Amino acid sequence: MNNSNITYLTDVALITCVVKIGLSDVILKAARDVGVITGAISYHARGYGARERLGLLGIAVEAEKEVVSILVSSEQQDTVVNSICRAGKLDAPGMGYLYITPLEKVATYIPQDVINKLEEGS
Amino acid sequence: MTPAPGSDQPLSKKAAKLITCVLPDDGSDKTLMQALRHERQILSTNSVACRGIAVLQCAKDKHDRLPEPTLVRKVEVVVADHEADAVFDYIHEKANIGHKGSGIMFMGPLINMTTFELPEGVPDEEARYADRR
Repeated sequence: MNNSNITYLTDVALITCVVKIGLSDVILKAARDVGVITGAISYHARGYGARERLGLLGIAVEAEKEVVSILVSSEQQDTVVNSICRAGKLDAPGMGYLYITPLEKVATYIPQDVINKLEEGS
Repeated sequence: MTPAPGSDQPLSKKAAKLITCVLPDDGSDKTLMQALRHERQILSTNSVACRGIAVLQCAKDKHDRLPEPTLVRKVEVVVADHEADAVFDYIHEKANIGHKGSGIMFMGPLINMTTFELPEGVPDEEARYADRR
């Protein structure tokens, strides 16, 4: 969709992944390994909650976390999530979790040749 | 509307949107937040430092490694539903999002929000530091 000079991208989802510190590169690589074009950011956070219930005195699960946010197209979100879950072993206790947020619109710089291709296709 | 401080009134639901911008770490986040405060009277913003990998960066570096991330700022702006589209376009223009290397922005729904107001008489930091200079 194009409004004046803004190109809005739709059908985009935000995958947010909270993992143990040091695992963000594994998650990012897993997202890229499936051949999906993604933009991503990661930052540090401190986790609270289930940690106290796991391991001896909560030592087993580190409180320091990394949050990874990855933008993907909605149709590719399941592929990326499966890849991330496997790579980050998110099915194991204490390894982390992820959630998907649907986005209404996204805007960024889009090279003119990509816009031309999209317009030819539609 | 947010109930008066100390009242037992429950929060009423107010649909809102969360606008998130990923901007280069060159001070553009502060410029944007100042513009939102002064020109749109929006105070519910925050900025955090992140490592970013751009969409247009090569998929993988040499030796099958990820490309080198760059330092970026993630700015989050909470706005009321009815003004969200206008604020989105405003931020797009102010942060030059349509230009190469200027970042990305996206908007998603929120179920509820509270208003954020500063107490009266809080001096503007910019003006205060300008006086000292």
